[in-house]
Amino acid sequence: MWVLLAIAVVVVGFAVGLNSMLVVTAAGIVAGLIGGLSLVQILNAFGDGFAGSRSVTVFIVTLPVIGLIERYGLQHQARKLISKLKVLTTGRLLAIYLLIRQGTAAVGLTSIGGPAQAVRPLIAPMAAGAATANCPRRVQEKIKGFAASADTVGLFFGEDIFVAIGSILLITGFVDTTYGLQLEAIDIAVWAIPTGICALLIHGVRLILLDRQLDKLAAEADEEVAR
Amino acid sequence: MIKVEWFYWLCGLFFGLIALQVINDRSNPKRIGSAAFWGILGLSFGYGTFVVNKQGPSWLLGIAVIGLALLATLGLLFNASGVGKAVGRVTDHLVPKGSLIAAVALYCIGMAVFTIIMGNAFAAFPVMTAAVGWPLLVQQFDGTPAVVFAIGMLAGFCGTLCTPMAANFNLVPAALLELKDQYGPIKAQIPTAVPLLACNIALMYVFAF
Repeated sequence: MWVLLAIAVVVVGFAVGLNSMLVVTAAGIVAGLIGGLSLVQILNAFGDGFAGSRSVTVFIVTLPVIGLIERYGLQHQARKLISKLKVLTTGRLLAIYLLIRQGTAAVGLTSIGGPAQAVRPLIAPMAAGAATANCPRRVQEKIKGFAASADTVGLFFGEDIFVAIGSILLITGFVDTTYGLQLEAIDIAVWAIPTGICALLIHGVRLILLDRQLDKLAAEADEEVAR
Repeated sequence: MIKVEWFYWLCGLFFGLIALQVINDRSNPKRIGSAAFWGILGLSFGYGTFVVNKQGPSWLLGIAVIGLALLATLGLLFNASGVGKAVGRVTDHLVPKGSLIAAVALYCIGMAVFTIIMGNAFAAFPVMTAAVGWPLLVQQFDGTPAVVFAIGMLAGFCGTLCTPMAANFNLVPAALLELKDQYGPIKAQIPTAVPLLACNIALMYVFAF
């Protein structure tokens, strides 16, 4: 029962506003010590965890390439192109991206999108280009935040429909070994579809409604300037 | 054949180059500390290969990681020390005996809350499944396992949308897009995550029993 103290460490650490890495490490060590792990076992757990999760950071190697194509004006071109298409508002564009992101993730193509390789170089500038001509800072921030959210929501609730994805293999692996069930990946994947549809509807509607919010923000900013 | 380890070495090399750039930047008052951070991070990426292949002791890397204090390792340690069973004992007292909807809500909301705390639905899944999903929903209420576990995991994903602990999904995009407010993506996602969590509870209640 005392292991739950580790969660208290996390909550207090974040409430006080300490560096998040420090908080999480301290919580991990506390959990390990109270759980009766030796110092070496805790260090081993950290080491194995780090070695096993290096894949999270692989996107770093794409950054120099993204930087290079930005230098040659990709963002500018994306923005110019989209501002000519009047039907495509910011909200509609992001809703279409959500649909594409979720659809491709559902057939296993999770690397097509992503914040480093798609949102920063293409989707965010296109979404900004589709908005009104002069974009105040607050509107830009909002557009970027929603561009990132379209990518993440699409990925999360699309990838689980594909059978060979980590989360599904974790579910079958865990319950089959722990409880002696014989669940197949396809059984789990099928039951991700209803939630996937709900996610698409909820976030899609919010993205389409985003246009109105942006207009309001832009009008407010104009008023401030007029004053 | 290209191996994934090569990419880790490439990442390590990249971090090493950053370390060199930082140490040569004389205008940076914290350059020694920063360079040490990037340098250790780079070396850890290379050394990780030997740990995975069981050619080197992993505690050595553990010491380096404590120095770097990495987010992704928390769930592993939580599990190794038996947090799941402890949560089960707490939840026993929380659910009114025999209420199916309360048990479903507890499993889904628990998945979301644990994911928010740990930053990772994968870490929350074994904990909440051992505490509620298996003993209550599957064994006691006779729920269909595939539906319970599939939707339970997705309830956890709703938590991932809301938490700065899931740095690679929520904070990294904010940094990549140069947002002034690093919580911008989370703020855009919370109003979707909350109704979607309610949908998950309803879907599990309708389809699993």
